[in-house]
Amino acid sequence: MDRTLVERAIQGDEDAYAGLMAIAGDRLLAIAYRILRDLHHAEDAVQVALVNAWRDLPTLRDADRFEAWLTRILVRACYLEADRGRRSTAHLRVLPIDLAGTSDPTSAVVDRDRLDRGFRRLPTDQRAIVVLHHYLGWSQPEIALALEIPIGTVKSRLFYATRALRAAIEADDRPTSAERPA
Amino acid sequence: MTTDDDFDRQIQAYLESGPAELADHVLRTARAQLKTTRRRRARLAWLTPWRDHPMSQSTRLLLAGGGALALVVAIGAGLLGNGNRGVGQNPSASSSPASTSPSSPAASSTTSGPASSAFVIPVYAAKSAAPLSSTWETSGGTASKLGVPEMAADGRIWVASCTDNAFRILTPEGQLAETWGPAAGDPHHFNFTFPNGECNGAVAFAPDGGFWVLDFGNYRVIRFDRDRTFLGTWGRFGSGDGEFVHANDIAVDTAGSVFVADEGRRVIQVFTSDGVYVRSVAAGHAGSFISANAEGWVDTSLLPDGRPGLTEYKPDGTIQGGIDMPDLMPRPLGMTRDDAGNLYVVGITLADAPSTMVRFNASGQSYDVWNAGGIAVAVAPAGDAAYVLTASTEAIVKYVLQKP
Repeated sequence: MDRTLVERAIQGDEDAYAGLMAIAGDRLLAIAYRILRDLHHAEDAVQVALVNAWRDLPTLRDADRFEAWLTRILVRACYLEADRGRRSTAHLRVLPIDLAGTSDPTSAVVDRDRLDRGFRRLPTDQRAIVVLHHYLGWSQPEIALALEIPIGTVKSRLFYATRALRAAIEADDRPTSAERPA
Repeated sequence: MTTDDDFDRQIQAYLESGPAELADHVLRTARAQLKTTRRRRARLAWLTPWRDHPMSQSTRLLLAGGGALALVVAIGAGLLGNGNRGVGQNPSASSSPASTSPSSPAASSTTSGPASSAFVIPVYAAKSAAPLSSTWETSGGTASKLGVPEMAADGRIWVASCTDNAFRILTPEGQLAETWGPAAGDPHHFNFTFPNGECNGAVAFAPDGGFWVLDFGNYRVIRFDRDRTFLGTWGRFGSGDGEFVHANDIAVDTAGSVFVADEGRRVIQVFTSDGVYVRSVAAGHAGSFISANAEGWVDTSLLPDGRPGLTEYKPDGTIQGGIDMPDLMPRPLGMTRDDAGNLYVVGITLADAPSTMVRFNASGQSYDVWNAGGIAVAVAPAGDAAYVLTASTEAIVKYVLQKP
């Protein structure tokens, strides 16, 4: 990220901040979408994050930390957006996918569906850790630093998220009662 | 069974696909909102010289007006104005000795417990330039809840334990040196559990090693000398002078005045060292935690308008100033001072906002902030170590700090 742009934006240069938005926008959307799994919610989260970041930018003390700092703001915007989404879709529930017509239940497509269902069932804070770790490739200490949470929290969220995702796949691998030998 | 590496790769593959570009309309809308978005002041600008004691109110107002900003505060006309109209405006020693002069002394008995093991926990990231590392975390024992930590003159850390209604006394290295408290059956046996099950307990030390215990569940304060000999007790349940509803923290100044914060009554009561009620401070808007400096200035964790923040009261009970810091520390809790008068405040926050510890210098004009929050804190006299009660209230963590 262009440090000069960040410093100018901190000083209140709106054009400089617009440049930062253009540079960071795609990356923010990629992160938000992967956390929220919904394009419209992700766009809303990015928009909120960009405005909040502008509001809070004078509090940023280290311009070199802009990217991580902006990511934290985005993640919080995703939490709020997820809450909003939950409220508006509270009547929906995840239904099991009928695999009867699937010729190869171990195929990547099926695993992906299972992962997707498992991922969508995760709490948003766990999803965020999974995305930062597996998509951005951030280490656990880097995540802790960026989100300003204890590293123990990062570890536990990642642990529980991974366990839940594994369970989502492996539960579907277990034979149904009709398949079990008598 | 998929291996961990394979499973990680599966997750990474799952996360691969997604939109490539942010739609222009999102950027346009965001940019349009910038013009109407009020920017926040930089954190450093939040601070006013609110603790610069010799400064006149007019100077303070001038600085607040010129330097700005919101949070900051001396809550401008608000807070300072309120100071004039009266929080604790009646510093007169209206001593209605609430209950009591201390009852007759009696030797207290002692119980001992096994030493616990200290262990290293991960180093938390520091937000400030000052290095921060944690050196140990120790629990109060199986499923134990702990109270407010305090450092005694000998450098050991006392913390109330609700498991056995006694103090766990820890060495600076994190070892449990002893467990102490009047034994069950003793009339001064502590009760650190409130009727609703809440655990707390606190202690304040005088420079000579004497101390006062906030016997939380018994609505009383008990005074001991440096040899732990019982000297007296006062307090009972109630809303009158010298009575407590939900006393939460205790502090003492060098003159021996004892301050007790009551979050049930939202008041700080001031007593002489032997329990004679002197006056009430911050009536109606005292926070749950307090810290008194050597000269009797007392800080508390609530602003006069009821919002979380820091307010400092002069020895006469009027307001010196305050700091409103909703972003830096939305909910300040425990606080204490080092020997130089630097103020350390810890807080916890909701969800994923960081729990922080903040150090204000003696004038309140600069600070350090770390991700090391909790419920309550004790510090070493030199300010080079902090002992924080974690949010679970089940452990004390030691952090090594750069000296101020």
